[in-house]
Amino acid sequence: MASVGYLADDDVASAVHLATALERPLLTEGPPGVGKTALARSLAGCAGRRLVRLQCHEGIDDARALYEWDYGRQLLATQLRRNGAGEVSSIDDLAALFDESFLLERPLLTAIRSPEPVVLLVDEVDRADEAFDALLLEVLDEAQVTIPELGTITAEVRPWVILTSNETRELADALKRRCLRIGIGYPPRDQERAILTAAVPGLADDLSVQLVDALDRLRAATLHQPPGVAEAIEWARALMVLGAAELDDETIRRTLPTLLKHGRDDEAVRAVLREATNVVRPRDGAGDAPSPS
Amino acid sequence: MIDAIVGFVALLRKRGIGVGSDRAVLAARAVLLTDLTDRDATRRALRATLLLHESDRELFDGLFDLWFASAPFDITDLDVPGSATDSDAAAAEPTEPRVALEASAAPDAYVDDPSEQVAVAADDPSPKRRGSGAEAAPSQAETVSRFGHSDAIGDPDASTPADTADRTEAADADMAAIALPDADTGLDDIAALRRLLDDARFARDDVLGAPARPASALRPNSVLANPFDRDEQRDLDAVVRSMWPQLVGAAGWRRRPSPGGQLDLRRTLRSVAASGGVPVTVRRRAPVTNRPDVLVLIDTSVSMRPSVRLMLHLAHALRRRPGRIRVLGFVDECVDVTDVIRHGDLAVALGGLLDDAPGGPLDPARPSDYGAALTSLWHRYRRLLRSSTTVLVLGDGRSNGRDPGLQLVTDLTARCRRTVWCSPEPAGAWSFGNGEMAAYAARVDVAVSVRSLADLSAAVDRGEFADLVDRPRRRPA
Repeated sequence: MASVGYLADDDVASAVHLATALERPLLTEGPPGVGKTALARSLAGCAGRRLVRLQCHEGIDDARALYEWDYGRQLLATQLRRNGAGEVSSIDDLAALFDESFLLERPLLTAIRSPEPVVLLVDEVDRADEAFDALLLEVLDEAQVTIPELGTITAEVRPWVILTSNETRELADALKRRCLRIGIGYPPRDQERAILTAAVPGLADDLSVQLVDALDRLRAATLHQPPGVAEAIEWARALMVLGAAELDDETIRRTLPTLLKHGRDDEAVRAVLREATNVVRPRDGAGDAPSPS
Repeated sequence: MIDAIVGFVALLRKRGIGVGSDRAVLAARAVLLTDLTDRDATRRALRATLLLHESDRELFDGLFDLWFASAPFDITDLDVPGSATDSDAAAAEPTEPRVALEASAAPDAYVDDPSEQVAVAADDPSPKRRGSGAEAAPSQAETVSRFGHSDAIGDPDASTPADTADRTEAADADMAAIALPDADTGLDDIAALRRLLDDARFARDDVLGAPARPASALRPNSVLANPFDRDEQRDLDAVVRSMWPQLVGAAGWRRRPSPGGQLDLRRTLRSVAASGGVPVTVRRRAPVTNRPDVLVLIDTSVSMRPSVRLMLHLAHALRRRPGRIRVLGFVDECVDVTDVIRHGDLAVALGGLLDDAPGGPLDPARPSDYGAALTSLWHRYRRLLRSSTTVLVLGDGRSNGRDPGLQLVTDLTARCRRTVWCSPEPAGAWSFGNGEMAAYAARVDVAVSVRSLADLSAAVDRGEFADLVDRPRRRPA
């Protein structure tokens, strides 16, 4: 996956390998911004599969996740028949209204029916209600969807399924049981440097060391939302745009919006970064950050 | 290899990590796909297939190290007191190696004959020769040294004075000896092994990011000096399974939020009036996500000390239900402790939180102030409350002469679906002294006296927490 810009550690690589070899869904759990969604995207990229994404939210149901009948078109079809060939009389006519052509596919059904292999990403499954966990079971277990009017549709090519969760709630054990599971945490320093260097070409070594050090401190502090890898990359990019050669108070002030995702963290983040820059760079000033272009 | 996995799964089950047969089969398939000579790869494969909860990870890794690195020992030894005869017998006549995997995993370090294996380990304990077993040793040694003498933890009914002394010595010994026991340390191995497994339950500080804390600093004064054992935990889980639907209501009773947000009638009418009604534009409120189904408030003050153990375990068990829950602790100010109990072991997480908080908002040595706590709840956490939220208060309602905040309780009850209050005191004592519990009881939906797990179980059986009457929605006064 390194070819598509995703540096997976051994744990992740092994879990992905097993999930694809055993054809089991892979549940990834961890704090926001550690690359759970990016994992699915990269997997699709390197395997040459299409990515089908289902973004979960509170209140999501089968009509948003599986399929829905296109009531508008069904009504129109009824209207057309009445105008053309008279009344809708036979039971066959009724059955024709529940034809696949009136079916609106939602991501889960799209992934199941897709003739070419796909990667199905069920993103932030913890945001959905617990009833939704049960809805996923059939898809995850058998790679099939049952539509009462049409019967059971089974996948010709079993999709690779990746589920992500930020653990805002515990998922049902029945759902977990059907998946391989991996917890993704913040990467160790060396790996994070490698990620930053790969994601932000041209990032100076010294700067990346400073960044990783500052990120370590931020994550050790008690923040409402500690910066993930995604924020780290964003921060590094912002520093590149500003042409900063090292971290100093001025560059930190300018790039703070990339890191600060929670109003209440403002003071804490500033304090930690001030400390970090003092340790990394004991001498004062010398920050020659040009104005943003 | 199959035997090794089956044995490992049995060991996991014995230590409370539930693994179904299907997972065991999956684990076997996964192991077949991995490089058997790579110990870490095997660990990763088993972790991905057998570990469902991140909070069990450290225990899992410890068990993996012990099972796949140690010389043969019978799993039944883990549960029975380590009698000298059993252990000596086991040490004297080595049995069939239980870990077939190990032989293939490190062919240089291990030989098929267990006695030779022991000899290799005893003769040359260098990390290089010990191969994969050596990798386990530092972490285990670290675990034990971090938590100090483990006689403070030892199971009292499982230890005689004599073997307590043995255990202490064993705990002081390098745990590498456990990873690769030699023939002379059979008794100590089993005893120390059992304690190590117990200790692993407490080794969660890394996950929580808390500083390492010796066991002795936590235990003597801890409100959780005596965490629930497996039987109690199982009973509590069973009670909570029945309690949860009573708290949140049956699925059909709750109104499902519309995916696009609820209809905002006022804004819709305004927009319709502006355009004369054609076309009609429906305005919706942005859906608010991640509000909890159940909000638990735990009083951790000094007067709750006898019962806070039950209350914290209850909150912990509720957290493991697949629903949304937030847990706030308070003495005179509410503090969100949901994340603390999400991953960690309860004893370390909350016990440490309470013990390390002298003068802090959760200091268990201070008297409670319900008025101040409810005010902070109202100001800081009101956004968590919605009409489908059940508020579960675990406290004795003793505000120690300070403002009890009765009006806030009335508002809370009006705003939420249900307000349930569990007090550890018997109902007859609610008005004694400076108790305000009787006044609170009149303002909440349900007030129950819960002093023990049996009380809680009885209350759940009676359906005390269930909303049997479909009441009209109340408005705040």
